[in-house]
Amino acid sequence: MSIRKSLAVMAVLLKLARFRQIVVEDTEFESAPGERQKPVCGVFKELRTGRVHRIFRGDFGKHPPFSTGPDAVHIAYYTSAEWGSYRALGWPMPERVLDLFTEFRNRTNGLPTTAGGASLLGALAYFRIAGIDPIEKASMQEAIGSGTWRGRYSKTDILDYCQADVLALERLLPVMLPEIDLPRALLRGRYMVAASAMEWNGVPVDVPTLDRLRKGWGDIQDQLIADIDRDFGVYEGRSFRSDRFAEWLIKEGIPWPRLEDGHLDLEDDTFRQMAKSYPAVSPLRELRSSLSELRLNDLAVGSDGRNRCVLSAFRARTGRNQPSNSKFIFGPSVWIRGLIKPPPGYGIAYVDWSSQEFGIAAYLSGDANMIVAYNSGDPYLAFGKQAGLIPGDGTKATHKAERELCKQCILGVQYGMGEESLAVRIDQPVIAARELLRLHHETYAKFWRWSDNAVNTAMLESVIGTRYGWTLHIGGGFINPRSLRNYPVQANAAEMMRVAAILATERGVEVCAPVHDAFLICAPLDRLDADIAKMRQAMIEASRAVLNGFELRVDCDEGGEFPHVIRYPHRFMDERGIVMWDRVLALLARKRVKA
Amino acid sequence: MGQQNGKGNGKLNGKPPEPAAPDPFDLEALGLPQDFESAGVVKKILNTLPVRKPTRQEFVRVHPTIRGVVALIEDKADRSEYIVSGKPFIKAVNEALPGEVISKVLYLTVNRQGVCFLWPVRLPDPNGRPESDWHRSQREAAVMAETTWLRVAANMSLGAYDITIAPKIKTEPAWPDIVEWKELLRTAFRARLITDFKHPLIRNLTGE
Repeated sequence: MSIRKSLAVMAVLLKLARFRQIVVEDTEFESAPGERQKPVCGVFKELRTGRVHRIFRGDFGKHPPFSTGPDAVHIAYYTSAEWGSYRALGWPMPERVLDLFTEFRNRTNGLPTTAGGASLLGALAYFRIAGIDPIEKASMQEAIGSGTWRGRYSKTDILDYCQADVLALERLLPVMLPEIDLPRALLRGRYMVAASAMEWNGVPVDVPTLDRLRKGWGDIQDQLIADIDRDFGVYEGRSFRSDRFAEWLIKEGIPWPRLEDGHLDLEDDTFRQMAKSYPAVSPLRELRSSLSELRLNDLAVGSDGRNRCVLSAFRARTGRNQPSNSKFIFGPSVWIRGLIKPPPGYGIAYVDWSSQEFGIAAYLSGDANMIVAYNSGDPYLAFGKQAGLIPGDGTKATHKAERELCKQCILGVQYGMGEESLAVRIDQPVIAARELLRLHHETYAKFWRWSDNAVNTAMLESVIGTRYGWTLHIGGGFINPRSLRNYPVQANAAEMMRVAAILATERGVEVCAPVHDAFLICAPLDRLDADIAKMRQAMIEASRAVLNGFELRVDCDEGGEFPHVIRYPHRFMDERGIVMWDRVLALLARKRVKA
Repeated sequence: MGQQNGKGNGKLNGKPPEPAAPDPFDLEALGLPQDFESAGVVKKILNTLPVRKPTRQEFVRVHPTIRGVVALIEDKADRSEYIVSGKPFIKAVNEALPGEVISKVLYLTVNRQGVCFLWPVRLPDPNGRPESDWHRSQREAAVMAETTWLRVAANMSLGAYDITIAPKIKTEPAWPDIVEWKELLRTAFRARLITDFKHPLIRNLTGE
């Protein structure tokens, strides 16, 4: 071993001195869409002793080769994959995880990386460490993942391939370790264990209805267009006509954002935003996104009726998950969530923080007025009263229009909207939007000072971080000032999600999916209420942790037309998707009757 | 694990009990500050300070203490104001161009958008000559604006300024970090300073 290499190893052992075992590992597994993974092999190397275990399917045994207690740190790359293998093998989860993917992302978030991005090969290239040939790696990966490796590769080939990744990690570790904030890295590693739990659990889906949808989708698309388009008149065949849409907008008196060239902005994001202000747009939005993006066969549902996909933790700049839009049932087409249904004897619950982003902004900035508004239970109404737009005794019912303006202003500020965008959103002249924003600045002056300080800190120090150290680096090109301003709120919201996921999964709650500011859980009916309480408690504790002692409210409404607690045989329904869902099911039923 | 000795002194095997290892996942201990106070050293510099009356549409407040009396000459061509500096020179200009140099109070003023400016308000005539209602009403508005948001609008038929107050606006104005009065004057007037008869405005007025 060269002197340089010896020094590198010594540095690793020193930084990880508290651990009796330092285990670098990789597992390979078969993974069909929606199915739980089936481990094929694993290679585990303990760095102190140099002991290597190469284990193939059939020889895994009941326990992992090394300790999973606090005396051992487990190191891998995108470790939720490894913990999925552990779950498949019935092995206990490691208590201390150092995930070099999350740490590489944290180190380079906001900065340019190599062509390999944040993959292991990308990280190796970034640090100029030799790695496996990418073509060879892709070929092996595909063969193993699809289960077609038999006859193509021998056991030794696969174990060698797996060990090559372990060797790569062994080279990567001493390069990365000096700059890793170990205590917070271990917290991020703990989240990867929680993420693997959610990926393992998946979301229960009504498979018979999904099958009917899949068979009938091609046929019913035209009927669906005709059905929904009856209220709009914007389609010609399967083509959306923007000129007809413009006419409809004029007829309905709906202002619509335009691009610089004057054309209507027809991005899905724009439709999504506008649908919030103008619910009449919602069915059209659902139709458009379904026709363009909904590939029902891509929805990854396993043989056990669970939708599963990789959550892609830490992929977003804010640290949020970024699961595939087409594979994840909580994708952009909200009506498809009607497929979410608990199995017999079970119930599901959708548990969410109330006005999470507003609450985070209030408590992190320490703005007393904002905190009062949050605690009132209706921040939009409260802002209206604080700004003098709504009298003190005004209510949601008596001052609906004013409250709506305040709501749009608050949401607009959260999205970083300027006066012109807000004016379009509220269908008012720019001067009205300007005044609303001025009132927001005046009412929540401390929040704006804090927000200014956050942006100034980021620009001065070229870096901005969250409560638990998720960092955005400034220096990789143009930074949108609005996204910089939003970063502390969005990224700390992601921290809150992670802490809640850790607490809930470790306390035995079957968390099916994280959904922006909410979680979907599943439990047997006799345990449902208790698990809802546990999930709520985890979310409250998470808010307390991120907000330095302050708690956000957590909701899980049982009543109303769209309850968030659903017991078999009922199904989940997102209010925004009900029109589309009903239409699709009606068309399917009509098709079946005809058949 | 060790056995506790018979004397019950809390020691295990004669050794003092080891302190509990810190919880590596103590979320409070792991938390990093989110107040971004390091950026508190960033200060907004007041580098543009107009000298003007409030517009008829803007609500304003006047700083309770920051103001100063200056001698001004107005260039009627573009309505810009110039400071005349130096007591002997002011006296000389007064003699050469009677009625051109006007003493005004410059009030540091801010509107609801946080924009600062210097509001020039004429002083009463030192010789006790009656002043116009325009000047009087404007001066009264400036004093009232120390404690109340208001706007002033010229009322031609009245021959004075209408003052509209906004008693419901309770928020106090956000004043910028203030430097010395001299610095404010320098920022407001920059090159519009007259210190001798060679200045083009003076030469214009004297017909040179």
